[in-house]
Amino acid sequence: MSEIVFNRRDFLKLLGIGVAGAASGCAPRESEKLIPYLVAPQDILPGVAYWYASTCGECSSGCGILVKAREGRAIKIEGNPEHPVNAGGLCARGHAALQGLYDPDRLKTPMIREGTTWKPISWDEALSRIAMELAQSKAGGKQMALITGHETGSMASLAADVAAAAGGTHLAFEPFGMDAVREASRRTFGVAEIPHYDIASSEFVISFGADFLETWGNPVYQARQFAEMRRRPSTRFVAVEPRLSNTGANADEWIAIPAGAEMALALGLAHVILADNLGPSPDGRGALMDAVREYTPEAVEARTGVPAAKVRELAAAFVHARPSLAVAGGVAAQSEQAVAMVAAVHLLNHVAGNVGRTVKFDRLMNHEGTASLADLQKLGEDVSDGKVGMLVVQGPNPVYATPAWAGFGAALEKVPFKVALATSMDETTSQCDVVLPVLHSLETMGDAESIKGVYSIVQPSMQKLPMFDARPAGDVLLALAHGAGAGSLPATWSAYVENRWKGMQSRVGGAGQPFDVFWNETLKRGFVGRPAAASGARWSGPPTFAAPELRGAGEMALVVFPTVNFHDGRSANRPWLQELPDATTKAVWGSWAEIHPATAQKLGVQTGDVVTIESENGKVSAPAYVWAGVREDVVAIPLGQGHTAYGRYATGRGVNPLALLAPAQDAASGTLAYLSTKVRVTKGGPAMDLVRTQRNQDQADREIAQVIPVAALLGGAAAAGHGAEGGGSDSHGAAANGHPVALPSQTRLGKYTEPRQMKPGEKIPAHAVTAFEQEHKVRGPRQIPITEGSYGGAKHRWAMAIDINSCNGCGACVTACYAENNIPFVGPEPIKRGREMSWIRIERYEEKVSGGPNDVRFVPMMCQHCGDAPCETVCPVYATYHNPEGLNAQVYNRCVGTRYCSNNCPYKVRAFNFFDYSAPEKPTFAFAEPLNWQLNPDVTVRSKGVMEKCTMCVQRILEGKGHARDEERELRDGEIQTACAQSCPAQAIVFGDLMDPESRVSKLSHGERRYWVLSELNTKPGVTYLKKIDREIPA
Amino acid sequence: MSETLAAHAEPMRRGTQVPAEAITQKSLNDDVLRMISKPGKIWWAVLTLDLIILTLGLIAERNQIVHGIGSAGHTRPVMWASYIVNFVFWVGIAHCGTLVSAILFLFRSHFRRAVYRVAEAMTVFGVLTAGLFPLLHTGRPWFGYWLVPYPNQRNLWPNVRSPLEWDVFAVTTYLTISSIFFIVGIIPDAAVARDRAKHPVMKLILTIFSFGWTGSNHQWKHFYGAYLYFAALATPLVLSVHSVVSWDFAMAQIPGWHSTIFAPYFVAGAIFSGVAMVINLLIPIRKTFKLEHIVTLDHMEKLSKLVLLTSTIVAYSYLVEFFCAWYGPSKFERDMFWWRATGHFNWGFWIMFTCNAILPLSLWFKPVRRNMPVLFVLCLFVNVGMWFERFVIMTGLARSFMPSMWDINYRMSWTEAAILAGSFAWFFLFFLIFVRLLPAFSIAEIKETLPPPMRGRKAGAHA
Repeated sequence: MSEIVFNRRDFLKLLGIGVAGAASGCAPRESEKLIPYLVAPQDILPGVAYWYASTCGECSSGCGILVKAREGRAIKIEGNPEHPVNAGGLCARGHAALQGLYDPDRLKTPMIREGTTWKPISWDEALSRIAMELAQSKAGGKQMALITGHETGSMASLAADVAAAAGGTHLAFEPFGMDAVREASRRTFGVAEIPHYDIASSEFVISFGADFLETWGNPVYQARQFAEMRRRPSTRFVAVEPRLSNTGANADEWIAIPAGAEMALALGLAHVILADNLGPSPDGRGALMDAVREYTPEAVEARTGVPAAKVRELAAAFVHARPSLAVAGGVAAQSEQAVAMVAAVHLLNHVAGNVGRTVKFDRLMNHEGTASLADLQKLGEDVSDGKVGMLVVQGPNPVYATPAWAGFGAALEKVPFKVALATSMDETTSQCDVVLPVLHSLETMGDAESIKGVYSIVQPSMQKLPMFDARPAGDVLLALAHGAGAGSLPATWSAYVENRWKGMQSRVGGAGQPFDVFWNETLKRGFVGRPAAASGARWSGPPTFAAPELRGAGEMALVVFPTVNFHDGRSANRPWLQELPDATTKAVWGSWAEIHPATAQKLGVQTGDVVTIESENGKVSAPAYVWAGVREDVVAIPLGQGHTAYGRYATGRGVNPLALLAPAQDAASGTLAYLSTKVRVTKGGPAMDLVRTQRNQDQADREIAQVIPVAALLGGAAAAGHGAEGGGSDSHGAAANGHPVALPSQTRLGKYTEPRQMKPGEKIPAHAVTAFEQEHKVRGPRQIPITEGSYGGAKHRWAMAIDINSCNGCGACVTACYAENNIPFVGPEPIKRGREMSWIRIERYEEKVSGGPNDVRFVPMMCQHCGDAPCETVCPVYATYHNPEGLNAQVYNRCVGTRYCSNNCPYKVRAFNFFDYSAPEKPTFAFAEPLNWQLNPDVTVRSKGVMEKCTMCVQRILEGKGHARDEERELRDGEIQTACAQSCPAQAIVFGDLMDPESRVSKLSHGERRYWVLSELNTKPGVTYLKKIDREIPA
Repeated sequence: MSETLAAHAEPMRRGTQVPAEAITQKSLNDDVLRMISKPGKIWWAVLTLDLIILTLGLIAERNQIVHGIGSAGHTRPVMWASYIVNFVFWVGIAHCGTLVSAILFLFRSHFRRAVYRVAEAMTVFGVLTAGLFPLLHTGRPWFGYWLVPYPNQRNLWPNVRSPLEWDVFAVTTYLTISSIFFIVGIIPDAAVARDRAKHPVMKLILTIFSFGWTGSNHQWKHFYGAYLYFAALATPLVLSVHSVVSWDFAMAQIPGWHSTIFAPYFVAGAIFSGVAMVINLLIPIRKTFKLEHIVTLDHMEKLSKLVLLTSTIVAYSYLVEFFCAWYGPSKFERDMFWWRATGHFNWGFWIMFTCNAILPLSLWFKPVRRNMPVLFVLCLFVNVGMWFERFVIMTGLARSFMPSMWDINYRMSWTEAAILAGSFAWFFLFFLIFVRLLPAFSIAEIKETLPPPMRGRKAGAHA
């Protein structure tokens, strides 16, 4: 081996060159600049969220919301805890309003139709063209028709003014309008108002097809009331409907009545009450008895199949439970005798003595001036007679939401000039001549009066989005009116609103203040006023009753029903809602047809096989969903899908069952009869998939969702009013010595080797091998060298208590979690392989679903943050570990993606990023501009190959702790709320600190109804569940 | 003199399993080294096919890295699927080689001499193949090095409580030891080949592999010392490595996984599939290169007896698992085993059971053991059955604790199939090259069983 001779100098030279070479090779990375605001906007601090009170515009409920804006972008919507409509809760559609704001398919510029193509034009061109057309129409002696959705407040007033100025009519068309209920009230109580149903005070509720937990009335308000009612063990809820809706799934009993026979049962109950003198003596008893004379229990049995004895039992229980309540009027039960049916239920309430107690007129949903289908048809006639020269549509989508026989589409074609004011293209706007982009309600000023007397503010939470050249709808309408010569109207929408509010100021208790002060106070609070009562509501006599007739040659009755996800179809282009599993079937991104197992057997189909449903008016095909929650002679298809022109997420997805409806309307109120048709179902059709997130709803005795018999609660609870809160349950929940029973999440095993609160004076024995440092040895963070750590000084153990007695399966928490935590939506294909990314899911377990006693249980399941987590031991790189405050933390940057944690998780709550949902260049990108504006800057956006799961909104915990530290005080219970807990309309999820014995979560976790899922695995979960109350139903 | 030759030959035939036809040292050299000649058309054709399949596998892997693990068929809850099945399959196959070359060496089992080199090569290449899968099944394989404990400025160490971390140690140890064992053991034979090599590149390669071996007594002494030492070192690995791999499952708490029988069950299964694979490799090799007189029917019969033995252990394990599930208190376990035999993936279970427990019962019959075509097909079935055994374990994830997660069934995707085929191609690539590069049979050890060549000896003379 030859020797290399090296002297010292050469060596040092080489060393120097080597180092220089290495250093020069490392070119400095291009530095990125962080430029602060040159001229900072007032009151904006980057990193601090600003909340704006507003009102949700997704349906006519008008829940009060608080919109969180970060750096000028609205990123989260939460319920306004002070608002009388929703008291802090918010439904899934409310959260998804953000995806309407950031819809990538929003219109960018005004457009004019030339033949079949759309040409972008400028606002000035568009407005001048419209003014010209309007002038022409006026000159020709024709009218202008303005169609809006159900508006209240300033927009309703403006629409009326504009219509008047332009010499035309205004129709406020709401597909799910409450016209039948109002007409029924007018006929029975003398006032055309929707009664206030006080569910919370009721002891016995019967629902005749009213999906009050989903889309009927104010679902968020009603859900809260319902949860309050159900906390009392003595209450009872019976659902009377041909198809078990999700509302009905929460019932103790389901009476599977033939479609259209609800009225007969209601009158039968009233008959028994009157005949047997069970209730209070109502005035006009004779007339009442005459009205219900023919509805004897036996006759009712013949008409409805409900045994006479059952009719009697129900009637007796209904009357004796003081107070009781019957509700009716949902879309699925709306037939050509809708008014008669609601009136029958009003009669039932009246004879049971509920009017004035649970049926009141002290809080009125504002549905003044809504137009029914009949009004729309009248407009169609006017169009055919050539009376209408111009049509302006702002909001509703009648071409989609009404059946073809109603003639709106045909009428639209005949109108010479049509203008649409819309945020995106839909079936109606794509038929118009000029389309004008308008601002979303989250970007505009405005107001709403969804409860009479309560004036809610709509205020923009951010500047209008720069990529869409949109203007406030109010401005456009005013421009139209000015073009028609209405000089007296204000020039801008904000001036119009301000004028109105100036006029209203004294009426709503703002007298004596300068307007600016009053206005700012109102903006901060979000609303003013108090619910107004209707005067003069009294029983005015029974109307005539008639049962509806279903038309069609088939043998199956068609039930079409709205879902929490899509309502009347307006929110179908929101991917969060497409991805939210349906509460009943857990299906996503599509439609289905529900059939009974006996029907399925006759047809030879299983769940997932495509069936074709045919009536004289149309034909649709959908995959079958076989379950016992529909009658054998019923096929049920959800509404809201089947769009043909409504953005990339909704177009071509699912089917619209309105195509099947027979021409039928309720003559009394003019509403569409959704329940009107008999259809034929056959096997076969074009290939479609039924994609479901949960394919098995049988618990198989695994006790995931547990119940506690009502007797156990009624017997022992000293403070019955508190129900199962744990307040008066010493004998059940606590150990004999009065100390709360140790929860599994507070470790008992390993007494000296795991951190826990030591009793004062307790010492660790010398022989105990422990990593636990004693209290007095705990050092502050700065004294602990980086190589050490200590859990001994933990001040919090974050945990949750989830009451499955309150959870009604609506899924608002799921969507709230998507919004808060930047969870990507994946579409139907990955979900076929179970790859949905949701961090929380509502598990649905059907114990009894076949008519009679009913038991469906909902279990919100998210990461249990186990004290002894199976996932933590098996991760080879410590990407998941237990943090000192009891959370199971996931470190995205460290995750290599071996997925062992998900395998070992018994609850299967971990979601893996199988694709890159955050890479814009990939087809799996889930945040198409501007959906990425919604992303929460406090939460990492995960790349592919990384595991994720519920973090108990650790970013909100940190924010809460930071606020408390800034204000130099302790954290208060309830101050920090996870997104799911905040959103739940029923307040089923409670989040808090287990180490605070006074916190709500501590008390609930020690209550008598508590249990843990799969507790035999000894994972020591941090999520405690409260058992559902199992009420014994007499046979 | 023929008498004495016969007398001389007899005891050797009895004790050393050497075939009756006279093999001389030179003929042995010729026969074995004939394999390392210039490859013919068939070899090139097989190699080309192999490379095509390997390329498909590489393309599939590239797609998977670019797009994400979603290209594979994993679902929630079946988060491990064919990649881990392949990993365990290949690691299992690898164990037989060490058993045959190391353990049987220590037991002085002489039939191993004719077969152990092929088995050892199978071990090394099997571990090389298996080692691919822990990387390519992860979501972010470019961070795979985080599983290796190396000092870093963040003071992060891997989690030694995790069985995947144990795998890292077990598999790298196994790869290291078995490679060294293989390379050391092949030194004398590489030297023989080197001395005969004509092509300069071949000569260079063989020179490297022979480490300057001259065949002196001194070297032989140290060689056997080293060989014994490595055999002793490799022996416990046969039991430990696959036990550690089995604990990937047994340390989890999933019903069907959390079972104490896994370590011996997997080790037995590993040897089972390994011996079957050795048989599958030897039968074509001996036929193609006409080495039936070196690797005789007796050798093959002994191997097939090993197949039968391990098959019974594996069958016993299946039955014990079912018994414990039925007898024990865990309804999760009971439900899961019932589903295994009757549910969505029951076809996998029945393939496994038939191929592993029922078909090998035919090996009780001598004619079957000595019939090469039948044995070959049977061992193919055994390999299929063993692949399905791990598949059945993996798909058990589809029926674990939460009923809401049932019926979301895994289906193998094209990417997974391409990578599975690619792994076979990768293995056979090494094997094809090995067969043409280095002596595939242990010339030195077989020579020990031949009569020594005496100088001046004529046929029949006995000096």
